[in-house]
Amino acid sequence: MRRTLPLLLLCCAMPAAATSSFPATLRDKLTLDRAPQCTVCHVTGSGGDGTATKPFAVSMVAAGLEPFDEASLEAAVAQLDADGTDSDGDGAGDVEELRAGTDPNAPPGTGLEGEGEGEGEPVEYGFGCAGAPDASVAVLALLWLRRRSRRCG
Amino acid sequence: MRYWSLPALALLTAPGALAYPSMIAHGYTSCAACHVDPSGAGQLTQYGRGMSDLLVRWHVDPKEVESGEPSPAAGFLFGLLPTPEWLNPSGNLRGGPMVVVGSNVAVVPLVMATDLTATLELSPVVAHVALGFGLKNMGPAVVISPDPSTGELALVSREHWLGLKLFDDALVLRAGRVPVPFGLRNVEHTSAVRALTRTDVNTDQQHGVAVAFAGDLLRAEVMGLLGNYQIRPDAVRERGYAGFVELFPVEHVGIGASSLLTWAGRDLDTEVPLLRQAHGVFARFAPVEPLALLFEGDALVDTAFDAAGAPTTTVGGAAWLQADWTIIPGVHLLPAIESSAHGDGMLAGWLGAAWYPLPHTELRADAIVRETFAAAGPTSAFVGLLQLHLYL
Repeated sequence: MRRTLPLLLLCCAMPAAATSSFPATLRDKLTLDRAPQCTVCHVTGSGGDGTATKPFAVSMVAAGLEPFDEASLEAAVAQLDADGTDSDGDGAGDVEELRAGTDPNAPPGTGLEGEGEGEGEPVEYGFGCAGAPDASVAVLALLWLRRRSRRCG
Repeated sequence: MRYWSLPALALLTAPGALAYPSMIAHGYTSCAACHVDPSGAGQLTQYGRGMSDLLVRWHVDPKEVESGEPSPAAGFLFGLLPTPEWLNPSGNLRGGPMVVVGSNVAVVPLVMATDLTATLELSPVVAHVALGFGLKNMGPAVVISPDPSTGELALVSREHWLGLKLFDDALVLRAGRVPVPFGLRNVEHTSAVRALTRTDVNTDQQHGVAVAFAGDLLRAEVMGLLGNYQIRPDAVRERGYAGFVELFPVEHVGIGASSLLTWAGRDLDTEVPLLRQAHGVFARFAPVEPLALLFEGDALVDTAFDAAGAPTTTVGGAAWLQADWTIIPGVHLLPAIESSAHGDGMLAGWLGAAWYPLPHTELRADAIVRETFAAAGPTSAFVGLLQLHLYL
């Protein structure tokens, strides 16, 4: 049902479910609490062609990962798990790190692994409960201005 | 009817035309006349609808444009639903198949945008909102996500802002989620100059306050970035400024400069504290009327801080050169080359073609060959993309 409206709106092919679903596939395959960020493979937060060049991504590609192919993703991560592949050489396997919630691309202490503010807090998308601008306030203000301009006119 | 008089005049001097930054080929330097956003891209104004129909659309009979009157189908929903002057509803529906050569999955169907937009204009106040469903990589634009970790199948709002138009619309003050003013506002949002500066109009809008000016010899916009309040925690929000200025020394030539500086306690991509700078130049030039050349070159300076507060600065860059050739009115060929050095090096060639067969309708095909020079060795990718774009 979640896909009904977009389908109606576009009246075309099925929604994209390929690479954008890789994080969720990893979450399900490895029974993670939450899906990894796109940046576990890509150098940009929104992913994109040619940007999956991080060490973990290179290992996954070497294990047979193909873009947009979920079956190849599952096979590649299983391969890395079986081989104990450690892309960042920190002694912890990539899959082990994903399960532990650490970055398989950078060993701890290098300054590259989540040492920014809010470390450990997952990035979430969408407005939170606090501080979100309320569009309805803007609409009400505009309606009030419209009524005023009519009176003045 | 006053909306249509200027396009009609333009037609007398500009038989062929197109939209986007290459509109300079027809003497149009300002974006604000045709777009709700004073710096261009996105929803059209009523005037822009007329211009789109007269100058951008392909006409079976070229005499159709000689009257200077846009087709009734140029209105909202192809003219089926009349709207009052103060309300400008529209939509942005974009989708199509992508072909990745060498992939096991040969054809990937993509739904890229399903936005409905509305602009209320109660002079001098203007309000604009875009709402739709995000189906792929829409994280930063997500408003409500049933799956916050992926951002898939979420309600997204790329833009929502409240503005004030002053001095005969030459100055526009805006507050809300606004496209970041920087460089060419080209529609190819995956191009390196847009992606690496994080200034594309697909998802990279930021909350903040912006001032835009549009004059005959100069246009400019500067924005105070307060952060993208559609992502959490607060540490990942980038704060700083962005802006551009573009001068028009002679007709059909625009030369501009851009600057951006942001700080995030935890950069969204690198996870470390990051001071991000981008500074660049861009130019638009139309040597002959059917051809516009667009260039942008940006320097990228990232300063990351480790746990001890020690900075590490990396310098890179990105460049884009595109030709927009109007073969016949309504049909365009869009070759481009781009390169970047930001971490890995990249070199790419684009060949795009666009056809505007009906009002508010674009069919576009792109072939992109991209060579990435990573530490593990160079990799090549070939992507073909066919898009149907309805902008209602």
